[in-house]
Amino acid sequence: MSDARADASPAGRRRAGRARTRLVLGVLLADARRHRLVFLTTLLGVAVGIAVVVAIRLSSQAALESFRGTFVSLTGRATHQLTAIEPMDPARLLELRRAPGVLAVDPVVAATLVVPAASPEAEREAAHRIRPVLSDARGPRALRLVGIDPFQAGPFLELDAEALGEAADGRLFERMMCEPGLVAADRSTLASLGLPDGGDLHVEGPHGPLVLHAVAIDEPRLAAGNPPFLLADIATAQDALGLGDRVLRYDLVLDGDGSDLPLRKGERLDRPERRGERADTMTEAFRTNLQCLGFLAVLVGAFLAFNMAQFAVTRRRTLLGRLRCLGCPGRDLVRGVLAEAALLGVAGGVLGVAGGALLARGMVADVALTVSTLYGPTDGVPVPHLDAVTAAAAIGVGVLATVAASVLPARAAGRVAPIAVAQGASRDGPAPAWLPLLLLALGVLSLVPSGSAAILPAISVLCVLLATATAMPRLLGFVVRHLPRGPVTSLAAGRIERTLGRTGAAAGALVMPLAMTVAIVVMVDSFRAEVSTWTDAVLGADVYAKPLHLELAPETAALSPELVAEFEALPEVLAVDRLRLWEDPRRAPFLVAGARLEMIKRRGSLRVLEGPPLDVIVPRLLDGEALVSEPLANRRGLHPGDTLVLPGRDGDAPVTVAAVFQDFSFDRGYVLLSEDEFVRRLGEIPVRSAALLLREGEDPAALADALAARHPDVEFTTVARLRDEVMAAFHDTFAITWVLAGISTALALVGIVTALLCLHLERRHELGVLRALGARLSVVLRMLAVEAAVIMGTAALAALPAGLALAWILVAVVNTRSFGWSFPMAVDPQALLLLSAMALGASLVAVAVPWTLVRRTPPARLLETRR
Amino acid sequence: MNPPSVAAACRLVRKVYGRGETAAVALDGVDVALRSGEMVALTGPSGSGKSTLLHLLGAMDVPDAGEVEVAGRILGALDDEDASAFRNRHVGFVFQFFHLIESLTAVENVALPARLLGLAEPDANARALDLLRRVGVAQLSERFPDQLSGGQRQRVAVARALVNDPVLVLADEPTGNLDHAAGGEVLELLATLGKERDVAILVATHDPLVTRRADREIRLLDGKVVAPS
Ligand SMILES: Nc1ncnc2c1ncn2[C@@H]1O[C@H](COP(=O)(O)OP(=O)(O)O)[C@@H](O)[C@H]1O
Ligand SMILES: [Mg+2]
Repeated sequence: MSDARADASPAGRRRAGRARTRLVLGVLLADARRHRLVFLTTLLGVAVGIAVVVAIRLSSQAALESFRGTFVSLTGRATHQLTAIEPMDPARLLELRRAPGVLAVDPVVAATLVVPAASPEAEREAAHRIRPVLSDARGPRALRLVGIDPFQAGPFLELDAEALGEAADGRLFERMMCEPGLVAADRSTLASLGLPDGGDLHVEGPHGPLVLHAVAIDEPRLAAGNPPFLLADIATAQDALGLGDRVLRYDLVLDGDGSDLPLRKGERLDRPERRGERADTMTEAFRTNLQCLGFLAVLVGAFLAFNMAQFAVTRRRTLLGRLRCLGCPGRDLVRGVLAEAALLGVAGGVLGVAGGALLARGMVADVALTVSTLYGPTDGVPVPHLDAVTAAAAIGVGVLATVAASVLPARAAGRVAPIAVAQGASRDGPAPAWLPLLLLALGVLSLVPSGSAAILPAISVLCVLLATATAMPRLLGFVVRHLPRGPVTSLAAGRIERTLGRTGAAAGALVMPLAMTVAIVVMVDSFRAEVSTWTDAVLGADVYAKPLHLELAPETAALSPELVAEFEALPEVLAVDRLRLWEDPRRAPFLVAGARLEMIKRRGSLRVLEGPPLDVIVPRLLDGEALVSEPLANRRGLHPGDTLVLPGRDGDAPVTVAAVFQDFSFDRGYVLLSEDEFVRRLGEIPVRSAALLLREGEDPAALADALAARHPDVEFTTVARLRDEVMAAFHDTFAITWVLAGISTALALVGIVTALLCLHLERRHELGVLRALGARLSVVLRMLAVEAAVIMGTAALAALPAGLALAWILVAVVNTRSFGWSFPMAVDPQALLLLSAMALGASLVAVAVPWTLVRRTPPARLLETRR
Repeated sequence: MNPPSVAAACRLVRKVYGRGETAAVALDGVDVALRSGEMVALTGPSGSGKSTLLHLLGAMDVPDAGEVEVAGRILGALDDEDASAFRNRHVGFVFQFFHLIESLTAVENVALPARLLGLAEPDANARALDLLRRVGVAQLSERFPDQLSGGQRQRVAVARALVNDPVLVLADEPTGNLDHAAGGEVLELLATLGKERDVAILVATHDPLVTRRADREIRLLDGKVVAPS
């Protein structure tokens, strides 16, 4: 038959091949039109998978972008920034200007202020929310006041200086210098505060309320920060922040690298960070975890698309065989099939991108909640935007998955002898047995290097998941062979056995999210249990006091010395512990805290992970040693007796580690010093919060209420409430985890149901035969139920050990490596309940859909679908 | 010997597929009666309504008008439960494409209707083996359908149709997929076993062999019964 072709020219042969490929594609598409339900199901499977990929990317992009706004600065062309622990002398300006290599200097004062909520109710409501995680228009709002010297600022502002100069009747800078209290903000910022055209702005400064006069200008960059910027003359800013004439930062344009610039003690010269750099460092662990979860959804999605494409080919092997019988070469057949798969990928991709953009809108609030719980307030719920790169990448993933899925079955169909296919056997077998074993070995191997790279544990997680998924066909085969033989069970078993490859693949798509859910539930439960005991152990005081807007304006919110003195004088109070915190304003490797150690001394509220007993630690702390929290110790490899260099107002100086303690409050970790040592190193940094220890028999709630009535700008919390807050914040941290786990489970359910539906549609005639032999509907129902129970039950059984293994990886490897937290694994029976519920739910749907179809179709019609 | 009783009958049966413009009248006022022990050939060009008539007689579908009576029961009045039980107990099917369950062995396929009827596995298998012996493929009883030739598969299907001692066997082009010799053998089996067990057999067919072997012929044309040519 190839003789006729042999004498054609190569070009002619290629043309003929292309024509045949198009012909095959046409036949396949005609078949798709005939089996619309199957085709739409396939398309839906691909689309849902892609939608999840898109939704995760868009929503996390939006949430992280809004958080990144926190670190937007107006540094402009500054090459360096000079900062010190304490505010700097204004006379430095002249010294700096005269220093060699300095081309320009600008003194800067920048800090966060709070605009209180419009009404006391809104204020209370905001305070009652566990954390002001998402600031909204009704609650208190933060603004970033940036004071500059307009004469010096020219080269520094990342703003259009001329446009600014022309704003406010062409005299903005002039007016800023002449009118004390004048600030400029973007019109949108002021509009959100109810002052679209500017006006009096009531704000909360570090020393009480004050009024600024706001002028609206049109400079969107001022609104790009989180919180948004208020631009002012440096004198106005110094006034508002109570700095006198001192300066917080000098922005510099230097000729060289600044190594020859003479520095005073405690001063630091750094390059300004690129936009978002710091946000990226801070959120690295979070992003890695999100990416892993996202990748899981992608994996399930791709697996689903894979599944569907494989179905499309396997289902039509008879059709393909007939084309072979008619003389179509296998090569053209394979090409036609792949062309159809690509079309499916594109169509599913486009649908998925649209669906994903919608889904992202629903998800973004949860992502933002997690981001802001972990790292600080985001300004409202961010809005996800679909970008061309994401859309193209998603469609690419769709095409890749469907085409890759079709290659093997298409080639198999292309190779099969026409006569064999014409007989219509549509058996398919399981994946090779070595594949899951290989994946498992890979998974174990990638745990061996103990570096801090988060990518290896993630690979390990994926390998375990894929190993479980690819083992499903063989597991199913095993279960099916050991079913008790009865007419109904053997029918069900036979149906599974003959399509082991595809049924197994569908079960594999289900087992991945089931296992992942088990793992996440176990991990979060273990984590929660540990955080709960930790909270009990370390909350040693009775009443806690902190400034009302601490979270919104952490640098400026403080408890005044008078207030702390008032606490100490209260007759109910036995002792007051007070906490001072210092965070490096430029890079944030860790926090430094100073405390009176009253809680540790009197109530023993410290969980030491490594080091001597408390009665040994306390005197050492008083002697100037430090406690290091677990995440920091893990990251730096610190143990008791090691030293750590801390910045100080007299320059960097080492400190000896007395012990490593457990802490879940800062994932970056912190160093705890005695108050005296802290002040010696860093100066009189204001008291951030206070903890009141009451005398025996005093009522904490009554005291908290009484104090709250007297001091409306301070939040008083009892230990019970604080405990709830900690647990609620813990819960919020996992908001997105649950959403993603839920989505991939839903995805898998769609997958398994569509897969079983496709199998069902393919084998409908078999039910027709059964009905012709007189099988009652209840027999058919029982058979479908046994079938579903076997598939889901096997998936659930496999998901359990896989889930526990994954939980172990998450607990023992991922958490310690990427967050630095360790805790024992605790298995709650809840996880098992959840697993059974999910498997049961899947089974019910998997039975209900074909059952409804069978019930509505007369037996004669079921038979007709055969040929 | 008692006079042969009426095993199955259709009275003024009408069946229309679809609605409106696309409606196709498959059967239009069909009257037929089948007596126990007789083999009737149902002939007519393709699309004349043969399969539809078989489906109605087998309680696989319901007529739009008229009455179908089999083994003394009006089928239109049966709900699904009863219709299923009725098919299982009283009707046997033989199809052109065999329609054996691919995952079951030959003996399991034959035993299946008996098991659905409620027989225990050994009893059902014994009956099935007996019938497989009668149709001459007992030695292949443990084979799966895809390990059998077309003729062998159809013998298994004939055995399956008879396993519950039905009053009526409905065969839709049973020789359509077989060569002349195999078709003849299957037909011969159907005829002998039908006579032996007093079963009424209706064979929808194009095969002149069937028409010759049958006791009589009913001819359909465009959904109506016409005189045999
Ligand atoms: N499910 C159906 N839907 C619509 N029309 C049908 C259906 N089944 C059969 N028909 C039509 O009914 C008529 C009789 O069909 P059938 O009984 O299968 O004929 P035969 O078996 O004699 O070839 C034909 O015109 C056919 O097109
Ligand atoms: Mg027909």
